Amino acid sequence: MLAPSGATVPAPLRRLTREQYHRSVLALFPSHGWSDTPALRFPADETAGPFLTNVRQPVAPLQVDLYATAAQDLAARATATPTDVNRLVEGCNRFRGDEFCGTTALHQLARRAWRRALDDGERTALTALYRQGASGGGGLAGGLALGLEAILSSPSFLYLVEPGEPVGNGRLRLTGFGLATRLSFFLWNQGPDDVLLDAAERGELDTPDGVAAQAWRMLKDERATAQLGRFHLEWLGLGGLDTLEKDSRRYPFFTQATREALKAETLAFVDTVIRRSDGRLETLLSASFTLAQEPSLRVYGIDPPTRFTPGLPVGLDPTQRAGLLTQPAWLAAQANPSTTSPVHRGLFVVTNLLCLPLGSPPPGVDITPIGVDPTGQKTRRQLVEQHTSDPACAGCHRLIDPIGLVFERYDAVGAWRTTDLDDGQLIDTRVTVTTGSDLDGPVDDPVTLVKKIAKSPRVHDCATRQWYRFAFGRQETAEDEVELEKLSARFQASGGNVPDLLVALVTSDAFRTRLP
Amino acid sequence: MNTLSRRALLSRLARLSAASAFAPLLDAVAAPADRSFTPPRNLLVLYHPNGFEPGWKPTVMNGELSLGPTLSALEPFKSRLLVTYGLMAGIRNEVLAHSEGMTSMFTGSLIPKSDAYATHPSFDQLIAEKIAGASPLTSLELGVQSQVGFGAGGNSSVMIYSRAGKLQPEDDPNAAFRRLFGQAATPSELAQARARRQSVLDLVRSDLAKVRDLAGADAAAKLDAHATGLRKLETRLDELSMLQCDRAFTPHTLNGGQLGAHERFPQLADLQADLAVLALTCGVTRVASIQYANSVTDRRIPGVNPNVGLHATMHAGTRTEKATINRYFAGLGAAVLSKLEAVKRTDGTSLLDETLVVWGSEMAIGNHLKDPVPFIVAGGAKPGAGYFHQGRLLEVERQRTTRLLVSAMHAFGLSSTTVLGDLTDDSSRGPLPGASRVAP
Repeated sequence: MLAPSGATVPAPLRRLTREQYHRSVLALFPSHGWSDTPALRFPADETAGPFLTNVRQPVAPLQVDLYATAAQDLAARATATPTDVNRLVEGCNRFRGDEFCGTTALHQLARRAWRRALDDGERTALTALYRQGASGGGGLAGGLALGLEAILSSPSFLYLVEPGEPVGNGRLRLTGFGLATRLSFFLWNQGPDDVLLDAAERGELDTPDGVAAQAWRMLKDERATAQLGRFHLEWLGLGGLDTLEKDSRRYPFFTQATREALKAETLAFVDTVIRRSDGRLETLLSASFTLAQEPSLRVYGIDPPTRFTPGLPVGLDPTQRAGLLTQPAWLAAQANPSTTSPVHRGLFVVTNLLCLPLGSPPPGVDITPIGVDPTGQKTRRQLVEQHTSDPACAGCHRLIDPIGLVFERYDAVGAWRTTDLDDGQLIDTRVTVTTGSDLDGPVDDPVTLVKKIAKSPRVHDCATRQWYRFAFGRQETAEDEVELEKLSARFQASGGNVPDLLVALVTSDAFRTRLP
Repeated sequence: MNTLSRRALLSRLARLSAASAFAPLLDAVAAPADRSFTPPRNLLVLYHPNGFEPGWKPTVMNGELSLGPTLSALEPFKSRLLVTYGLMAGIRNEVLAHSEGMTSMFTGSLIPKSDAYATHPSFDQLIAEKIAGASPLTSLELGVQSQVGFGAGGNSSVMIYSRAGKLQPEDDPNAAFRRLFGQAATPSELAQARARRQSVLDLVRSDLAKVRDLAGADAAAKLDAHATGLRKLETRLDELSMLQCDRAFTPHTLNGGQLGAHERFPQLADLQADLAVLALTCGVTRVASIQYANSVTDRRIPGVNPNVGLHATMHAGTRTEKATINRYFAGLGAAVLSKLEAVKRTDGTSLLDETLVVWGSEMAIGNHLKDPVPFIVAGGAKPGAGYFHQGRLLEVERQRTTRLLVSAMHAFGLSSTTVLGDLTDDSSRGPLPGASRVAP
């Protein structure tokens, strides 16, 4: 039962993201062999912090129309050929007749799509839809299609509904189905599978142990790989990597293949560390190996070894590379098309890894990005340092700039360098970090800094907060702080083990309850 | 009968009459005698990113307007334009950030956080409330690669807001065409589609009620918005089937990946302009917008900025590179005006005569300055018959862009409007002085 001491947190209604819609649809029709769905044409998703989630704005009329069209198209596609229809009624004894098999299939599909048991009224309504679709020569295919169109158009499919039951003090404990929904979208970014729905229906998710057992099962499943990857892509600000622009005159090798290779490298590294290695945040942020493909080896300046197999671990120079923040994906994403951007890299560490909120630049200041000194008198470092000499800027930039300057050792695509291509000067990365956190102090080079980041309790605390935002699909509120403190302490006590943090999170009171 | 329900009844009656075919006639009868301008029938809002580089200001020689190199593509329409110079974006800070510019540009909203969405409806939606009547769509938002690449989905990629929230544009012309005109062709197909849709909607509605019970307190507003969308959807099929117009449109054959391909930008811009014109011609809607890319766009357009993304070029490119981009967008605006002018009624009235085009940008130049933001008003009435005093350059100082939008609302008869959104200071209050032919 619910421990009465925990926090109960709000649960604003989330609408499926494009990827959640896409993955949920594919999971509904596993044997159809689809790879695309209309979701890829829906308007782009919102974000909360760095994470994609449609939690803030109500649905627009355009999106309601697109849902209707998508449901119609998907229903037609799922029933297009006799083979497709057979896939939907697979396992049904066809001697019992089309209507029996068709309505049974619709009831099962609705349970999976709506992530809950159906009531009698809903069963009857779906049966009536089947009959209407099957009439006038529609047959089994027509009946299934009309039922599917309604199932996929329903708010129960389109929103993450998390039903709860009152447990006193005006709080709600999530029902088994509510918890299954929250859990599945957190760990898999799609609706629950039948195993999880059955566990929910049997009451196995009513205890923390039962939830933990399902969470471990789900983390071992391949479906967790994509979601762990998505967390790290969004946390590291790599969501735009697919279309990242580099100046084709300066970096002609930075093509679509390079973009894909950089992304694949980061994803493979994350999966290897979390699911096949020690699972620790410190390893993610400091390990001197990677799983590169050829285009990213070029950025590292490594010739592919003979008999190189893409995707196998490759050792890197430990004085140059250590973990995610020294991989080309992040370094290139946090840079301008032809030059580095110390401010972007520094700001990223401050906001996404230290969770220090900074405001916008104050009124009246020049926020033109730093380019090259037209007079040729000043190095980029000297241009950046003007921030900290200007009192209007210094408040934030004394936090941001030293960290950004340490990463100057990497150019705009993440290659190691010793001189700046634009001013021809040797790069000086010796700084004193002043963030008011445990990173503070003198640092000479990027590897020393990222190793400090990897061990920092402040960074572990921030990572806990980011996972929490990701799990709930919203920014935290004051009510969340109690639980966040507990989770962070546990994360640090485990040595920063990420899977352990995720299971602690899903078994927490906050995850298992909500406000009415 | 108490006052409240009497008021409800009156407003219902008003809605009924607005929806009837005689609404324009009634409006005309009720108009004050001194109203000496023709209100536009339609509104078309255009946006292009990152303003124009310094030097775009037109000149006036002996009373003759000369548009200069940046706007030269608009030369054939110059008697139909009111070009403003000197308007300020409606933002809190002296330095304009993308998100603030986009959220305030058409709404006048001042956002509390840089990632917040606007909190007020945009001016076009307020106009739509007055003129949409029984149009199948209250408004139509179209985009040209506005939701791909950098900035997709964030508040820097949305400019139109209803009272319920953001209205992201549709970037796919084929999907937009289908939404505008549906698929059913014959009367029997239509009857069947209607019956199916009704049954599906019945189930969806009962599910909506169930979700309302199951979800938390904040769900109500979101589910209300969903229900509103469903209501519009329910009636649209009937209304579309009654439209009598030529629906000639060449659909594209691009797949999902090609839709986001940089080199397709010009083709998509052309298709979306065609669709907007078609929608206004056929009366599918009376209020439309086209959003070219977004404020932080990374688009690389062939022959315009092939090497470096658009916003990055507007920051760090050469004067020539920036000028090329500016001329390209001026050309897109001119192309829209040409398409509007090419649609003629039998009496010779063009769609441009009936459609007020309000065209703006979210900042003055790519480096985030807040003035002078380029805003241009075109068409909307036969030459010399409209609210706006056109064929002119209007120079202003320390005036918000929202004042021009308030003017546009007056042009549609919303003459009691004085401010838009949160912008209520002296530089934002009232219609823009000098913009109108019929008002001071």
